[in-house]
Amino acid sequence: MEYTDQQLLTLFKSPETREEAFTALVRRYQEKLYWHIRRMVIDHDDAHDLLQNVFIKVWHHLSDFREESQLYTWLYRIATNECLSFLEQQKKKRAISLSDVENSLENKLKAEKHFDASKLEWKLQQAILRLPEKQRIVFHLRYYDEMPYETMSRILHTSEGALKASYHHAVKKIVAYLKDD
Amino acid sequence: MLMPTEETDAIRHEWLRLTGGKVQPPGHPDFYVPDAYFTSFPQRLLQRLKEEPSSDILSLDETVLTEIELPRHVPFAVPEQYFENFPQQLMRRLQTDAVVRSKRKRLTRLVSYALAACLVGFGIMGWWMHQRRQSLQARLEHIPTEAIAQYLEQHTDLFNSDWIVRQLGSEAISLSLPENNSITADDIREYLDLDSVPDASFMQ
Repeated sequence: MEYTDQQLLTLFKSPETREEAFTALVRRYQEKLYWHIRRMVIDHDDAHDLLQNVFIKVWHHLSDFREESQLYTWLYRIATNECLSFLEQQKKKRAISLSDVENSLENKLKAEKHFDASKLEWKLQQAILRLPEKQRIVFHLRYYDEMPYETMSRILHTSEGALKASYHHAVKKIVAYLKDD
Repeated sequence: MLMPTEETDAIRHEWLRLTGGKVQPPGHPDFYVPDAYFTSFPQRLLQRLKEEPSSDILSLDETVLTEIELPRHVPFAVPEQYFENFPQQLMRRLQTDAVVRSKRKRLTRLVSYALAACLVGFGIMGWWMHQRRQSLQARLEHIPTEAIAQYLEQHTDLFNSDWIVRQLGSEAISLSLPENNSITADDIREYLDLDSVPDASFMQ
């Protein structure tokens, strides 16, 4: 039986059905959240750790979820914050600059199993890595997840106008990079 | 030049109050502004907006993106059966975390109890010592001064004191008063206030 998000929240609040509801929730959102995180951190192991952290936080705080926003946007917000914290920690841990983080991500990209610098899909990933972190998130959410700006605004706590401008600049930079290449 | 308003007056009075009337409020700077600048500004602005190219960001993005067909597929590899196994793996981790958390909570509780017990113990000990000191002082207060003086006289052995022995050094101690001294028995009696000490007849 396919439950709605609302039904899953109700089932989660009861101790008898908590695990079943939580497992259903994980199955529903794991891929979307995984790809959202993976596109940011590139490496599968890092993405796996962060995905677990996201769902562990969901397990502990789902009872407090106020339902003022949709569950979907709440989950994406947690995942986005986890990614940004992770990237920030990477910077601090190694005492490296932001450009070094980008180089490190690009190295992870090149270490991917089927990496082929001649193929457009890989060049696109390299172009996206050149964007600032938040602009990268905006591009991913809009281009890959086809998320409306209104939803994105609730996830990132940024105005729709600013998001549109950010996406516009991101596209220009990517196209310029691909054309130069 | 700005026309004075009630607000202007209020601000002027406030300024004078704050400066104690010693400094006059500065006037507005006399910058040059072209004639009819403000009256013509809205029309000039509208004209400029009409002349600007279209700023519809979404349509711009679509035009730009169609120039190059960008793939939607993200080419990263994912381990086999990853998503099928992930929920069970996650539940196992949550159960392990729950066990670790409860052990940590128990330890924290034990440490808190131990600390509380120590504090209570110290508190009781302190109270008990305070009580003892108080009762000792209370008992001493009931003993007459004369009895204390007599006790000290009979039980104090000055030559047990290390400090006195050190001070004396190796000189021989004379137990009698030096000859030709000006100290009389009355002086000594007065000093010791023997009249107030019971049974001091040995000095007389």
